[in-house]
Amino acid sequence: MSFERKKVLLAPLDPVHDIGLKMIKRGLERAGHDALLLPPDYSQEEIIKAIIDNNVDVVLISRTLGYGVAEILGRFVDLAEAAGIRDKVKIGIGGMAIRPELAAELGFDAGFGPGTTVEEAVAFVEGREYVPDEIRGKKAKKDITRGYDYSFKNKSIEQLLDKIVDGIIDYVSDKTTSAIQRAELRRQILKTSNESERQSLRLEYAKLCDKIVKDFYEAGKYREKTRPLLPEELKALETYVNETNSRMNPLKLQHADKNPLVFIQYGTGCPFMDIAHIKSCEAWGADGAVHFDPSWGARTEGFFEGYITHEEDGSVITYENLKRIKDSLSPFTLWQVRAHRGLNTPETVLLAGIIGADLTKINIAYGSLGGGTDPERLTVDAVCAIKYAAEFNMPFDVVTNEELCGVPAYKAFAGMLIVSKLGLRLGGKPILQPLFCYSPEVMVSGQMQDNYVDFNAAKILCLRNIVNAPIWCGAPIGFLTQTEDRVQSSLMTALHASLASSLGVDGISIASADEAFSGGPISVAARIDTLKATQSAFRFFGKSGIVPTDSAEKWAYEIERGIENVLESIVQNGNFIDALYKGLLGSREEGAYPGRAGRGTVIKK
Amino acid sequence: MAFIIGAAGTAKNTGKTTTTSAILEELYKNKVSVGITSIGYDGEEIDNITGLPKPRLLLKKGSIAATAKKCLDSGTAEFQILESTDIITPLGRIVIIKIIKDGLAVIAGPNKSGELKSVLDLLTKKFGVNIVIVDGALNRIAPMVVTDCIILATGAARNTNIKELVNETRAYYELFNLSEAKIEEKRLLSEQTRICLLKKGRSIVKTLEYGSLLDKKDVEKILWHLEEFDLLYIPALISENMLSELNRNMRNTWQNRTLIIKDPIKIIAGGNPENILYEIKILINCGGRINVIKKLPILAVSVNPFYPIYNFERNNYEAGFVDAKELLASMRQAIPIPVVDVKMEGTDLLLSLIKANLKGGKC
Repeated sequence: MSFERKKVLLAPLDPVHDIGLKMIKRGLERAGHDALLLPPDYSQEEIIKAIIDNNVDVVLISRTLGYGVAEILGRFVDLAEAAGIRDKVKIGIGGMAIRPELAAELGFDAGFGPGTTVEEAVAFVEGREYVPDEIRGKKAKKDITRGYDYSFKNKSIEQLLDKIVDGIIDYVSDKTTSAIQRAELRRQILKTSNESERQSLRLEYAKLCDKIVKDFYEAGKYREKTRPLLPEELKALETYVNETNSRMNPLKLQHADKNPLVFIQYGTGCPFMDIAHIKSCEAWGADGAVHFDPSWGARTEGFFEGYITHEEDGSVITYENLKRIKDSLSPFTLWQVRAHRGLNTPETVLLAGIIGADLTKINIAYGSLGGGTDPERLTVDAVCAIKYAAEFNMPFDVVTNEELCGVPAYKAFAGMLIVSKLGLRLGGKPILQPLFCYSPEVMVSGQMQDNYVDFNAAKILCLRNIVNAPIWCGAPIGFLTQTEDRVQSSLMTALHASLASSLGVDGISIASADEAFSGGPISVAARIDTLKATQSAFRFFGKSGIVPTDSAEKWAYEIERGIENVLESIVQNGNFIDALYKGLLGSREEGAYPGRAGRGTVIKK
Repeated sequence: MAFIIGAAGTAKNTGKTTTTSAILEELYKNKVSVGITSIGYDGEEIDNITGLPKPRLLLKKGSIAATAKKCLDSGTAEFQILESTDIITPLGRIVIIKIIKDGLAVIAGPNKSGELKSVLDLLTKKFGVNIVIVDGALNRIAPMVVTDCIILATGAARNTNIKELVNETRAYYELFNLSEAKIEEKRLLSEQTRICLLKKGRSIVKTLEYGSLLDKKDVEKILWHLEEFDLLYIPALISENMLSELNRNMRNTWQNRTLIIKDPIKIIAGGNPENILYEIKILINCGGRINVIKKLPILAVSVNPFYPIYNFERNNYEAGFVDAKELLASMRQAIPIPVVDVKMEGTDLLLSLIKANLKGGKC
């Protein structure tokens, strides 16, 4: 459709309220139309006269509505009709109490209520059909890794990493685990359409599982505090998702291009509740959601099947649960399934890949030092998992949560860089995930005594000095700075989000305002707190930034040197796994304990 | 011959939709083929402004209606879409539907007179409807110009002072009832879009440009040619102020002069009916004459004693009533056409009027 320049008259039928019209005027002029704004003290007859004298195509009236004022608006349309201009001029009405029904009643061509965008008014002027879910239409998944070539600026660190990665690949080459075997069986179970073959594969799978899972496959028994979702619950879930999708008009959190993507984390235990949380967060602007599994799931060999709900934290990973959650997501939502710890890492990544997750999470160092899995076992499993991630083209973040146990940032970063380099070698796309937190390290050493800015900034500067890779701050940002006060927690989240944005990172994970002190399940309202706070912070800062003090550069350098020293000590030690046991990437004194789950289960091929 | 009745209200909650529903019910009893549309969004369950419940229209099998697409799902009546029009409203495209199973319906039809006219033509000419009811909208009367006559709904929601309400209604009655111009004048002027000055013998001596709304400059132009005409035709909207301006300048020269306007809406839309009537009386008292090209007679007045009272403490509206008998009696005394309180008396009177008009073919 060719552009047609329109002449538009904007008239406030109100003594004072014309802010909306002023904004629309600017929007119309930017779109190339002629817009004339009348002063707020014109009578109805004078407005009609101005319409005629200026020979306008469209009139936009604004009026805040109360009882009796509707009569005034009706009279205005009658005047236009009697003046013979009603058929020639389009008339729209806007105001706080305006709805389409009222616009129809009053004889207008369109009604614009609260929340009307300038674009909506421009669409009306241009005679285009306005699609109210414009954001939904515009919002698209963003690839966090796009534009990064993973080139190392610090060549000496790169060389050290290469040596360590060579050692890892060599070490695992003749080894396997029951988790790797289960993953391959799961692939076959999902692939076959022959029910008897599937059943025999299941029994084979069950043999490789802990008793609790074996009981499920062999005797149909569920773990305590879990149960299958009922058919009527699933039906209700489907209805809920359809209804929610049909009326959802999601917000956009980002204001400036550089604002990072915002992820939320869910894991209520119940897939239905998870989906409700995700849908709420989608509506309030979240770009992605991260699946949390139960902690016992990480320490149990084998996965269950079917739609399973769980009374406690963490949502049980099964193909069906994940698929149902994935199918409920809006098309623009990035979805991550965590596989960074535990005894089912390969199968988790495989399921995520088959179902179509966008991202996963793998980290040997954290998983074995802070996540409770044996370092050797997790190393062998992680190599397989990274290969699956590469096969399904799923970038994975390498989280450094061992910092929360007390491990200093430079050690945690050394582990993160090793797993990232391993990922690159295996064809994967790693994302660095430094913590934006008030960690035990800084509590003791005092780097955050003055502010929360410098040390967090130092982490990012340091990583940027080492490698050109995507950065996603986690998890969640502001961890341990939040309190039971929801306003304080939201503010902390928003400020950390602003700092992350100022530092130009690609993604952030945020907590709800009640996550730290909920004393039970977190609430949707508290999720909205932090989403809205983050949106407002992005709006506040725009393209401007936060300037750290000189300490940031100094600490960035210190962290980088620390990383290099750790890597050198691992190379000298000769074996990555042994280094984990020895505490080179985080010692017992620092709060890192090599995990015991799955110890001695690595099998020679 | 089809007969089109507009149900116009002077304000919200004056009983317009109640009147429409009552007439519909009676027409159904008499097995008349009925068409319905609305120039507003009537039939919603809750009043858009006060939050009080509002009646919805019960449509019976065989009725033809013109309504916006978004309203189709809101009712309980089953329907078949006969035709989709090109008319777009804030509630979507106007479609013509035939009711195939009785039920409640939400009717929001075209809200401009041009579009209303084409919908009425469709209903009457293409779908053979005998009687069409055009439900009005909030304080809007202009599109009713394309109907044959109107039923004016007024009541305490417009003004709780019965005396003032009666005076206003009387003014409406007189304005709507302004007599039509002579046939030859109508023939000569009905297609004219400019202000016309005519001389005895009724030939046009001058035409003047104007811009839809009569303003001071237009009045001045007319006055320049004062000696050249004895009949003045103004097709424009004439506001109360401009009528007063004309009178101020022509008070001594109205004698034996005639003012013809297109239809009553052209002056009624322009201000307070009593003030307009006052100006018209001046014109007449000065020896002038006023006629319309097309009359829009009021068939009857329906009155409603109800009005909403705002409750500050609860922040809602509650029902209030003026003395129903006094309202009815005062109105009847003042206006020489049927006045009814549909809730109190039913619709027999209205129906007999409609029947008489159907037979006669015209109001």
